[in-house]
Amino acid sequence: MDPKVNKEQIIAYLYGESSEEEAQRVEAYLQKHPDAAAEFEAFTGLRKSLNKIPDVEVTQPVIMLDHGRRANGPEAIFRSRFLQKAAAIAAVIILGLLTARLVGLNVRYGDQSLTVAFNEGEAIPTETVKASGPKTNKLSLNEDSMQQLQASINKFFAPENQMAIQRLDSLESTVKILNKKMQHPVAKVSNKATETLPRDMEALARQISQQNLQLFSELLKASQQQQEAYIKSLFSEFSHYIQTQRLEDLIEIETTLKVLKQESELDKLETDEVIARLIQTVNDRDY
Amino acid sequence: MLDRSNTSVLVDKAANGDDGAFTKLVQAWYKRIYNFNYKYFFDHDLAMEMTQKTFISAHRNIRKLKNRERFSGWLYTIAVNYCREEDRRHGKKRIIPILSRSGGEICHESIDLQSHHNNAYDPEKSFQKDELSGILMKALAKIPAEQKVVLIMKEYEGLKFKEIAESLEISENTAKSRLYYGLKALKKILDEWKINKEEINYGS
Repeated sequence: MDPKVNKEQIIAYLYGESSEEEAQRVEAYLQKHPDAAAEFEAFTGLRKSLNKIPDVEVTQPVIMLDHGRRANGPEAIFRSRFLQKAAAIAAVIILGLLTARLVGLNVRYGDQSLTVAFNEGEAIPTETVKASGPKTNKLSLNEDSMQQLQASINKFFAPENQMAIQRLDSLESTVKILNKKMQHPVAKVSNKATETLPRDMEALARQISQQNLQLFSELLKASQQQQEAYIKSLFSEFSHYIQTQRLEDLIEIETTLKVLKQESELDKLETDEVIARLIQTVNDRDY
Repeated sequence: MLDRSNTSVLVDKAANGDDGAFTKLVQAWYKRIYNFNYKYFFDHDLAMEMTQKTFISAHRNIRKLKNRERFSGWLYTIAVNYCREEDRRHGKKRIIPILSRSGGEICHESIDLQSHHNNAYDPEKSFQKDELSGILMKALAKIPAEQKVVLIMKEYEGLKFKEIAESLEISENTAKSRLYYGLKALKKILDEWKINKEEINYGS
């Protein structure tokens, strides 16, 4: 690039920020250098295209400004959280006291009892109801009249009672007769049962233990299968994760390499231009 | 948009704790900072987040701003720092949403940056699908961050080279140089994607 016109000047000219003299120099340079003119033209077109990206309309949300952090001096003391908390507690206490005053609240604790009253001026009775069992209602009746009542009840139910006793006796005798008749076959059956019971029980216990053994072995097998399936799925998931991670890492590395390459190319270009300019300056000085 | 003197007055008031003045500054600059962030990330949510962070940080530190005239540049400096921080955190794994055919409206379809490097990605087909702005956005996302910042500041925010240099704490010549290489890189990317002058209309 011409030492008198550099890329900074071209950019300033492109954006209309160069002085008149500089602008003339750039224009003359662009006329002489078709490559630079083509690049300039491309930049102009690119700018036109870039301007086609529209501004996005946005609604401004509410921004929560932290006033506490900006305050200093006495303001900061009043805004401190500790003081705010203390003030809140004090306000609650005052409000409570005020309410108590308005409703005439009177609270007293003593003799293992707590008494609350809502009427100001009314003395709380000193006698308090202590815990006690339910009150018993005492019905006081004359003893003679009680005896008379009992006697009349007994008299009224006497024939009924007699009949009931007779029926009970007859039922008892019937049960005795039936018992005698049943005694012989029951004895036979019970003898047989005592002989066969141990044998059956033994067989049953054996059967149960065999079934238990079988069930336990099946349970073991099932659990083993489940564990195997779980481990297999774990392995497959892990290998899938490793593979995905590897791919992602590779993409990341590739991206980084490309960006690095691009940046280094640009740096190289810049360095080349600086060197060229330096050489040109040295050459100009020599001649 | 507020003029310089009004901005200075508001900045002065905001620095002295006037939140109403700061709110006016936010109203005036919100769209610009959002659009700067949006063109940097091409992601609405991220742009909103970065814009919020920018203004919260500005509110915290506005008292430290000595030169009130430099408010806009200072605001862009904060925004750029947050963009860089976000880049450092999530790097190139970010997914860039593309513009829909209707233009302007973001569609749900998204393209992974990494997929550009895969052979499966066909820019010609993509060009047929997307609008020109979508293609340019994707190309812009691929150029180095330093060049992209200058390009957005100059092309979309209309800042002078002096302002860009102040915001990024670089020399004016470095800003111009970065812009030159940014445009060159952009052109190269479009050439690589076989998007010629006629298609993109950048030659006309």
